[in-house]
Amino acid sequence: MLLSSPLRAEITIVNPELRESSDNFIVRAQFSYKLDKRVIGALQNGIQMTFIAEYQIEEVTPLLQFSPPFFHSNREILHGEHSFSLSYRQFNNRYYLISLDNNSHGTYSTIEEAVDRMRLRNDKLTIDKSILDRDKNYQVKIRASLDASSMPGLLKPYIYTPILWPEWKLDSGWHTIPIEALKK
Amino acid sequence: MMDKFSITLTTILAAVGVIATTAAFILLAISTNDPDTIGSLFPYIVFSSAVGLSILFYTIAINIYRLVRKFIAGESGARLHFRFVGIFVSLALIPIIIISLFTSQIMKQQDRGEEEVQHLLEGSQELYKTALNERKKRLLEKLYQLSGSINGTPTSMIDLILESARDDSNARELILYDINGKQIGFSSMLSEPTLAPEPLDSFISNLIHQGVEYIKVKDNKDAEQYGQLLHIVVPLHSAAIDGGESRILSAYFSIPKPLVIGQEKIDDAVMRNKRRLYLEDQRNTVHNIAFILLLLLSLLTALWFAFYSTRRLTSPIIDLAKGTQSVAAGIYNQPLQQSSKDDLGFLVQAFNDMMLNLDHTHSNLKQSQQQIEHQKARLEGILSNISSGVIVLDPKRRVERINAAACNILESKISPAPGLPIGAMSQHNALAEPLVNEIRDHIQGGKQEWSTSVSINSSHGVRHLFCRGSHLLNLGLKQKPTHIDGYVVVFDDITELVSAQKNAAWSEVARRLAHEIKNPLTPIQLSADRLRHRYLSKMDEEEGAVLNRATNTIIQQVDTLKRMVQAFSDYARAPELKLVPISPVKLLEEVTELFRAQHPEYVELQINDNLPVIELDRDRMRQILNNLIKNGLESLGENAVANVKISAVVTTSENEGSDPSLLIKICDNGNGIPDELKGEIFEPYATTKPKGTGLGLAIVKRIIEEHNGEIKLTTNKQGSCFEILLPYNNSDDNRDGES
Repeated sequence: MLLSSPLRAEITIVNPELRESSDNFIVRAQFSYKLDKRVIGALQNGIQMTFIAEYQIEEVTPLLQFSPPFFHSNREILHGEHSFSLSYRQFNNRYYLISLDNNSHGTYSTIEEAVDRMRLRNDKLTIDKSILDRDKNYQVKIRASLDASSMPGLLKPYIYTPILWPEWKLDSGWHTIPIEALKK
Repeated sequence: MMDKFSITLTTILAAVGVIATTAAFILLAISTNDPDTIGSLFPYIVFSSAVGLSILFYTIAINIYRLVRKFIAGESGARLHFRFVGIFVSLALIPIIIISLFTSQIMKQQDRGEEEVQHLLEGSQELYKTALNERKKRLLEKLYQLSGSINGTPTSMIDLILESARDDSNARELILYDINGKQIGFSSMLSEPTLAPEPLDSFISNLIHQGVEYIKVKDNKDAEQYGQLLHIVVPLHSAAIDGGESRILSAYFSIPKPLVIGQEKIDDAVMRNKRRLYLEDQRNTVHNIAFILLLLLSLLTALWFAFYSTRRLTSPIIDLAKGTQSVAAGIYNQPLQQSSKDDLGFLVQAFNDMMLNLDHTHSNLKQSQQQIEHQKARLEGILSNISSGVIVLDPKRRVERINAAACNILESKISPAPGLPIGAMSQHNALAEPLVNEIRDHIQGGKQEWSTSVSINSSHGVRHLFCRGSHLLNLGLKQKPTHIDGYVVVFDDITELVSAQKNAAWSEVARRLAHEIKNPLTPIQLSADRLRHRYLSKMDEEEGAVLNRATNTIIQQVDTLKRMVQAFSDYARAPELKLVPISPVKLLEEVTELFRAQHPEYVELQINDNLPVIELDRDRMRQILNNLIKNGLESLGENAVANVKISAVVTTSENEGSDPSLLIKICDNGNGIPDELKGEIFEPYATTKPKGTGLGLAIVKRIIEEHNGEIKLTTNKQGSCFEILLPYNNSDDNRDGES
């Protein structure tokens, strides 16, 4: 299922949610990964891939009143990220998934298992309410992507020009959730 | 405006294209030298290449379109341009194709070398795997050997037996479980025994129950000390143990460190080499893309440069071709722009000098031609305005030129087309036949100059032409006649002159006759009368009758002679005209009335009442009308009276600006004029009457001519018809009804 589309890689954000507790906002999301056979090929050829899940809180400040979003000049308040790397060893024919945050790791005999485990990662970002101002507008942005900077230089052309190689388009893009609770 | 916009757009496009292409080349050069930079530079390479390629494609497409359009339209220089572009493109393509083929071949050979290394490494890995499997196999055999001693051991002795077996087998740990996975014996160098022994992992237990051995390499917590461990779990089956129940033996063996290190090294080497090969493959892909971009950019740049150079190179040649066409079309005042000072510039300068010379020569030629045209027009004007007829023939006796006077004299409304043989003129115009025959005869005679008189039967009667001919001699460089270049024939209508001469002669004869005869006539008549009076009474009746008859005859003949003398006198005297405005209607009615009184049934007058009043000599006009009507009535002889019809109408000439004329026709149904007399009927002493003097029609003609008119004889089916044409001034055109 995860590998059903051979020429189109994809990272999609599944069930993004913003939960509010008495002191915090908790941002959670799951990410679904579709890896094309070429990406898996790279993996099986010893290319270690690092994926990053990013969470970001922004203060929304429009340049003009009623101006559209691309005219906004937003200020980043908080940024958090979780990284993990996926690699493959040919000797024992296993895939290794290592969290770069806490060094926890797991080995998987198939790529499907490894990718499924990537989806089940349940990273979150906790936002202390005290850093937010009631009179201002905020939004949470979530994104998951392949970390191009960790890739070998010769593979970067694929990642930087995904229009030419859609199988390397491993970026969910930013998903935005406005924080409305403060106004209530 | 559009041109300026187009030029600006083209310039901007060219500038952007040059910048983008140069940037693409530079970025490709940097990324080829340093592969690590290719990732970050690649988007810029793609972008700049795309921009450069698009502009180059566009520019080349436009150039090809223009070239093809020029080629199809057959514009000058298009073929040359096409050929040059073909040559330049071939020159650019051949090395690029050769380099491409060699490069791809070299890269393929490198790939084959790299693959061999990988195969070697993977072979090593397989060798290691085989060694590890052999070890596993030995250890398994060892464990099964231990199972004999362990199976027969009571539970209380198991730990001791396990301790001994562990030492014997060099295992790091031996644990014995019952069939449910409960620990029943333990001996380990890896950990201390606990109060609550851990049961066997359910996953392993399940495998054992399924009869499968569990073997797995595991990382040890004390990896630095013991290296990797091989975990083997096997079932132990024995009927002697606790009623035949099976047990499970779990053993940990340490894998020798060199083996682990070797495995890690081989694994690393394999993965590193795979990674290297993979990246090499990607490098090839990226380099191929870069190479294709480079190739396309080079090719299109070469193509564009081919078009550009060809345009630069062929532009002066095309200009020269256009200049040549201009010269061929007679345009000499459009010098070519000299764009360079090289050989082609020199050629353009020489062409401009030649064009200048041609322009000068052409101007002189044109001026000379204009002078010739002017002289020709002047000669044409002279020929058109002279009263003499002129015919110019070429050496082959074909009409080269004939003037209007010649056409008038020969009564030809259409001048013969140039090139018409002189003989064919008589076929087109029968009137010209005598003249043509004379000309032909004299030319054949070969005399350089000749003259002759020719009579032609025109519609106005016999016309006398005086004709002179001469050879046209071509004067050579030394102004000496070299050969006959044609013939010129000049002829004049001398009919009037001849007529005037004849008239003058006849007048003189008439005057002398009148003078010489008139004087003795009266004495003769008086003498005859006196003779009759004196001797008639003295003679007898018979002699008296003879005398009377003789004297009467004398007197009558003298009277006749007197009338004749009077006629001669009238013909010779020609008194001055007394022109007064006269209504032709009244004049004709008065004259015809006299004859109607005698012959009411034979005279018919057909005139309109609105004929104009014109100036005429009343008495002399009456005289000629009387004469002609009387002639008409007598045209059937002495014993019969002919019918005479008189009519008068106003006619206008076909020539523009000429005055209108009064046409009076007097026609009879008499015997007509014999053919032999028709030509000279208006000559003195030409008559059909036995007693006529032959002066009547001569006098009529003279009077008409004195009125600036003309008279001609036309023939009807029966009888004769005299047509008198009297021109009158239009300003005097007072209609009869108004006078």
